[in-house]
Amino acid sequence: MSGSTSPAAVQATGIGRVFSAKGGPVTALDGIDLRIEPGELFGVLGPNGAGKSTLIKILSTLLLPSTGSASIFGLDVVTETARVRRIMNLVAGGDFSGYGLLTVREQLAMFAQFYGLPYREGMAKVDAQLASFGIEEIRDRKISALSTGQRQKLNFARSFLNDPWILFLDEPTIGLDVSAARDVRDRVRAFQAEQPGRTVLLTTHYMAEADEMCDRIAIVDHGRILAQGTPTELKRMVQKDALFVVGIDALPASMSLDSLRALPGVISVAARDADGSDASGVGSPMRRLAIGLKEDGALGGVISALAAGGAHLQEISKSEPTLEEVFVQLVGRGISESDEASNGE
Amino acid sequence: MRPFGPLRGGAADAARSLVASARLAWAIEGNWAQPVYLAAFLIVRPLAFLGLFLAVLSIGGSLNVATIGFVVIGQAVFQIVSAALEGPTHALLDDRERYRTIRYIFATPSSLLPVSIGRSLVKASIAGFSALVVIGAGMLLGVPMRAGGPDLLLFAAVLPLGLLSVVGLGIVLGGLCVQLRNDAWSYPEAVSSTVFLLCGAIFPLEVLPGPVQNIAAALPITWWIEGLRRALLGTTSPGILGTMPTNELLLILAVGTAVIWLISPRLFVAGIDRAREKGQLDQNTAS
Repeated sequence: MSGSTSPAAVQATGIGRVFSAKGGPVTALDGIDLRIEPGELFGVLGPNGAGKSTLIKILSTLLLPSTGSASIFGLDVVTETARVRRIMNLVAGGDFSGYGLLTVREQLAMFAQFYGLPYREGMAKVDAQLASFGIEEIRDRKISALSTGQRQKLNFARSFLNDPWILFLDEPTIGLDVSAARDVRDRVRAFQAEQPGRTVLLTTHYMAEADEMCDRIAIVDHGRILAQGTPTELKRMVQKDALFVVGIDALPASMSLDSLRALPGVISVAARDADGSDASGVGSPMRRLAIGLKEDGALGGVISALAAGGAHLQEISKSEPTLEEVFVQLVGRGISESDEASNGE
Repeated sequence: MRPFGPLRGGAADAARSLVASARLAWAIEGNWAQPVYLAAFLIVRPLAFLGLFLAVLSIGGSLNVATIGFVVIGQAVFQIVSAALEGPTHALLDDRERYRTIRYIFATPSSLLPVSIGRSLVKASIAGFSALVVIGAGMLLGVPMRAGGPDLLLFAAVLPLGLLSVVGLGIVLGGLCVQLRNDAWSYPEAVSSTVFLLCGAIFPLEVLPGPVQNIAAALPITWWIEGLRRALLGTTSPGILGTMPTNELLLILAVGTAVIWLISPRLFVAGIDRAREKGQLDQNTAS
């Protein structure tokens, strides 16, 4: 299904959304262009108020766009809503939704009916999801008696009932403890692994979650996509050259940092202490060298030169910027600062 | 284009959704308290209102068996009318503001229409118990029932038609109120109370001003109550309602119900679409 003739899992063109408000129109989305291929786990990363949830609401047919168009597996989200809803599902984090008077199994059974599953098939899927999420023992517990983590597992179990082709996850791990968040991430990965082509669109403002889970990421702020690509591609936007940290017992007396800088493909060499701060003094014992290269392949020449001089190699690691650093460079502020600014508005 | 998984659809989905939402409504309406408390509520509340009206009639000096019978049927039917009128709005607002499930239901292939109808029908059915209580109280007060027992044929024709008409009006209100904020809770009650005054439930249409009588005559609920009076009491109301032949009354009720169902689903869907356009469909306005 991922061939060139298959439609994109998500195709959005010029999506905009303006809300009416007392103080005047508020632009939540401003010309979003997006293409997500079947089978991708795509992340939308941005601070509160960036437009992430608005985008998910439009793609999941909960909200109409003010401008532009979008389709899910070739189905228009405005004009073909009934068909779109058959192939997608949605989970939002931290919303404490559910009918407190129903038991876990009753609520799932009800949604199975809403998804159009025949009764027996629906109940079989309900029981399978209860087992899959390890919540069989609470199947007869009232929703009102569930913990936050249990509610979110129930929410995910509901979202898998209709075997969605695409799953929209809006901050799904918000408010969860570390263990519950890990369970959720593992289950999402398993969901994709079970069936090739299953697609996930995840919004989050947890950098590590996006970096760990997503095949590609779009960074959004003020309703616009500032950049998109794989985590590695995004990191290269702030660090175009390859940066390695090479640990050696000591720099040979016959060598200097300048002689290393003169090697082919080497852009920069700096001594770095174990704590990451720069050291000074050539010829003095040192442990780590931060070496900037035009390309990864130039590392071989550096290692050979050090070995020829008698240095003993202790470690090599590739140093990459974090998504947080990418975010700061693109947005101009950290995500936590952005959230504080949004909350303060 | 079917990358994987089946695409289902059709009226069977709507039927499943209606049944599932009816089950949900029973769980919500029937389980909010111990059965004994629920029963007490369903008995005490309508009897208290009936007692209030009879007290007013007594003070006015017009309390007799005929007027008690008139009021009893009006009161009984209105237990159902108010539940059905308020049902869809309360279901939608409950799901949006309280249970916060409306986005997950809306994002299913099921329409909110059968979901709202299912919830409303169960509310109306539970209110039917209160209606029976009121009629039972009337019999204890000496209201003479139709000689030879109720006209079951007429009853069987009038009851579903009237119920359908009032559920249809209820979903129109639901489509309107879902576009509004949390305070829309009280709007169906205001409409219900207005209809209560207009439809001949507690006094004959003739006491209303002329133009208002025309509005009252256009309400299927008015003819529903009159039909039930004839089926259960074997009597007719004074004035225009009483002079209408029963077969014509049935025709009016049937046509009125058909017109309502021709329009109400469209208005409901238009209301939901408007809420979706405004971004209010899943917007929690209470917090």
